[in-house]
Amino acid sequence: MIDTQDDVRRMLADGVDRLLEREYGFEQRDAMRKAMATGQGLDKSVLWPRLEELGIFMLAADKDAVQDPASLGHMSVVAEAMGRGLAIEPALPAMLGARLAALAGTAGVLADGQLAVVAPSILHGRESGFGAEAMDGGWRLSGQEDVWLGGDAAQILLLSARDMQGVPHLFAMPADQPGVTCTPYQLFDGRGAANVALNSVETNPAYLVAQGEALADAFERIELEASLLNACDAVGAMRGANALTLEQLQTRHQFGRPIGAFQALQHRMVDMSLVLELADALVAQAMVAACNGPDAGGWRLACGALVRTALSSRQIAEETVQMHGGMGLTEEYPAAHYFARLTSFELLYPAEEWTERFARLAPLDKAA
Amino acid sequence: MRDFVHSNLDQDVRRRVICAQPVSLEEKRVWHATLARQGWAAPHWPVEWGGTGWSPAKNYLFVETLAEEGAPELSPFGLQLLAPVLIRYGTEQQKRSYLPKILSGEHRWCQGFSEPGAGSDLASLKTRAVLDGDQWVINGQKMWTTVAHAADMMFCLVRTDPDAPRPQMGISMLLIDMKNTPGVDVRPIMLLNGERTTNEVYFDNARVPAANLVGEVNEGWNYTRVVLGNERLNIARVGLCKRQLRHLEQVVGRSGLSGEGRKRIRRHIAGVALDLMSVEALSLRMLGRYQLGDAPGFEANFLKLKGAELQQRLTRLLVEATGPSALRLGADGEDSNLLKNHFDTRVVSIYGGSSEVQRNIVAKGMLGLTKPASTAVKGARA
Repeated sequence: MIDTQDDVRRMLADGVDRLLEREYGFEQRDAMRKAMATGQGLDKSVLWPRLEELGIFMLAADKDAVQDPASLGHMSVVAEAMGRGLAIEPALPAMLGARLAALAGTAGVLADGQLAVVAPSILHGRESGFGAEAMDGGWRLSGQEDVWLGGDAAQILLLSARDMQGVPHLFAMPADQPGVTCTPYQLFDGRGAANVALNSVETNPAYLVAQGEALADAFERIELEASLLNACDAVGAMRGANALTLEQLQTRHQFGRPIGAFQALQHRMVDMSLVLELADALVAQAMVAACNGPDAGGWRLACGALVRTALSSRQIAEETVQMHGGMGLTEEYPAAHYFARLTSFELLYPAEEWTERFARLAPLDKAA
Repeated sequence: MRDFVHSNLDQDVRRRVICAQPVSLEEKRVWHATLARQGWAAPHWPVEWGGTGWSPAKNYLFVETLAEEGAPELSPFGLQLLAPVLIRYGTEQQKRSYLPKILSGEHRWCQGFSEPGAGSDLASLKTRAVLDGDQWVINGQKMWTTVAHAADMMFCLVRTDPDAPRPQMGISMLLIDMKNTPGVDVRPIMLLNGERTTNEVYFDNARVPAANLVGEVNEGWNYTRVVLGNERLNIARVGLCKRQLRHLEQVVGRSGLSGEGRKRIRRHIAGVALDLMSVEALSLRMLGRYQLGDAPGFEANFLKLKGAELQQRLTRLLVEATGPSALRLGADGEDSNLLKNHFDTRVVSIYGGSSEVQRNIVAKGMLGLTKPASTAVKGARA
């Protein structure tokens, strides 16, 4: 994503691309999606160990990595490759979990390779769905939040809850703790997710990893980073969809010629390339700005990047299916899978909502 | 750069540029002379011909900053389009006699490219030039020749080999003295904006010295590509769009619009502002690659068509924000002439390669879509 000559990133990008493009083809990844659909859960024996070998958690969690502006760029490379490769493994949720633990200064609470997933309210900057009550020697937690991306495979749930005084607390809760109901399911795009309900869960005090208003900084930063990394996933998916659609225009024959010989379709394909370039360039710029943390300029660019990526995602998703005709709706062909992946992004990060947010950031009335 | 504009540009001219009101050719000439005195008329030229030696990034910022601050745009024909061709392909004599006067603004140039039958399909041009002793004899017609009526000189594409195997291969570039050449007749084309900005130019046995040929005979098309490839770094006019956006925000801020109407237009403005951010990001990426030695690629085509769309949306929004008084023509005050201004901006997606031509270029060059049927196996890539 980020324009630099950084060797580490290049090696990482090469590694992830090789893994997803050459070693695991679409058919193999789709077999995993189908297996998950039969209720077997995510098969972590195939691609996951290879991703771990690449060190994707180290990227996010290393204490030095939090201070190192390049680490965000490294994560963006992984996110983009996952999107382009339509991989359903929760690499991005895992990176974000490790990252938040590090940002909150408590990287040590996660054991090596432990998959921690961050509550959607934290990732989307919303009010938490959980409340905490102090009790002798610990806490009692209740509440619910839905659609935790990657929550189906979570071992640790990173969630925020306010105490009776309204002070935010960050808990690292084992997903198998008694009283925790983690309901896994599959999204339309094949990735796993879960709804999480806590019913008067009594916790060990060790599960409280941080508290106080200082958490707000870590939460704001993870929200910014998560949104941009999801945009990177979408940029990758758009790149894949465009490559696939271009191939379709070159190889599908109707009326005695490749359909790409028709100017109407050529121009639409050009527009798909254009909106990808715009999104890619702005996401990269926003990523660089986000390395300095979530200041006003960083959020401004992030709003632009998210809106552009949402609009581009929708256009490319719809055009990809349209130009593939009936094949674009089938399970056996990647076009529909790109549609699903891109639609997930633009529904999770709606263009209108982020346009409103941008308008609030930059009041239009400050006539000089 | 900002300070220079504020201290040296006539305040009333600056106000009119910002409010999208007309600025005369003479006022632009004065600003050109001001920049020339500062050594900034053509910062991108080589130092030996009066350029600054600035980096591409500084040149980019210079153009965008001046536009953002409300400086009138200088005529591009001599400074941006012809000069780089002369510097690369012209004779010493041509460089010495033309470049200093382009730089100072003493000579105004026009571009003789389009013809009645050659618009988007420029290579089909028919204006004929035949060598007769030491003179070229020109016959034919040019069209859409901007400011030909006020120009001292024209750089002109003419057909010198009608039998060439491809139309692109029989074209040459000639320099024509517009004030002192018998047989050159300039007639106005009136647009609905009521101004005479463009013309038809007729050549009836017009004679120009053989020395006015640029480069080699029949190589004109290649030079044209240099012309059309120049100044692509600033092609989206990000600075101008930023200035228009700021002005638009002020107009909405003090307008009588309220309630839903105000909310609606602010949403549109936010949408344009966000779009402009992505256009700027792509411009900066192209600039970054250019600094590393890559010529502007298809980003420039994308930016030409997306930049045109943004400029048109901005002038349209200014009309909407102003309300019915924007319809009023020719009256004093900032509100009048805005619809005319919006109408004028329609040309941005037509000139310099229309948006349709830009899409054709990307489809062919970047996507390879006009090639014969490919034999690639489908479904190989996820």
